[in-house]
Amino acid sequence: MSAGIIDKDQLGSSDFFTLLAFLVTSARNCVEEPKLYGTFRLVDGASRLIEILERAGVADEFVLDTRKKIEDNKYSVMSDKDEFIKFLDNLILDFADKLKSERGVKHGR
Amino acid sequence: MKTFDAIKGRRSIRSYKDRKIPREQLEKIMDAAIWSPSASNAQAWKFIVVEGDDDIREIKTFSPGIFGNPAAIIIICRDLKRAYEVCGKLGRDILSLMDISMASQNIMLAGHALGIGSCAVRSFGISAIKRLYDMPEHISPELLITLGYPEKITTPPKRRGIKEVVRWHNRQRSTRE
Repeated sequence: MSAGIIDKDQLGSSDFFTLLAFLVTSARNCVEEPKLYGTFRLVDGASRLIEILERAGVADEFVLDTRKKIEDNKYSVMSDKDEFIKFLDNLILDFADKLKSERGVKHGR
Repeated sequence: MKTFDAIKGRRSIRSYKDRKIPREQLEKIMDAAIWSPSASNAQAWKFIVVEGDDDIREIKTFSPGIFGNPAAIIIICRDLKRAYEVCGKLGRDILSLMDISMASQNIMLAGHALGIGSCAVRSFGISAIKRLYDMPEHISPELLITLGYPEKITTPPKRRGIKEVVRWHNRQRSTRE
């Protein structure tokens, strides 16, 4: 896929098509897979989305760092459930901190 | 490589080097697959070895459970018609699953012995794979095995101990003791 642009005639080979296929296949498989795998697919999907943003040249340092954290920690779902949940908790706090840090900027303070 | 080293050394690989596997190596691996045991010697299996980059990309599109860029993917299928013909309902519904599981382990161990990593994946779109490969109704894809030269080998997860999972049973011995 060229950066951020989808050619309608080439949708099947685009990153977005791949992401959509990942989502719908995951949705179907989650019916039978372990409950925590649904969580895993969501966070893996987030990583895949960031990868697309990176290729399109619109990923900032925060989301790239987020993707690295996901890639470094996502497999803990298979070995240590508590560690996996802790990793997700920390990830959410990263997003909260990011939002807080931009409050001042948004209001021109 | 010795059998026990292969069994204990194999890991599930989710990060591969960008390097193709020579065809003769893949043939060796598939030879190991067809030498696995099967109920009533039914051999009710079909294997599709996918090597092309575009074909691998297509399979990955419908496989949330595949990570990294494998050099090849083997689609492990049951032949339900053959299983039923040889072993009846039991063969079709249960034994054929056991048979492809044993063949899959042979594939992964043979690969490991050749320095090729693998990962067994069930998280894939079964209906999509059937459609992509025009599989007849009686051919059922059950497992994907990714293959490639390992980029990263993870440490093994903890095993439940022998004491926890094995029950020894010998009435004569317990009487003597």
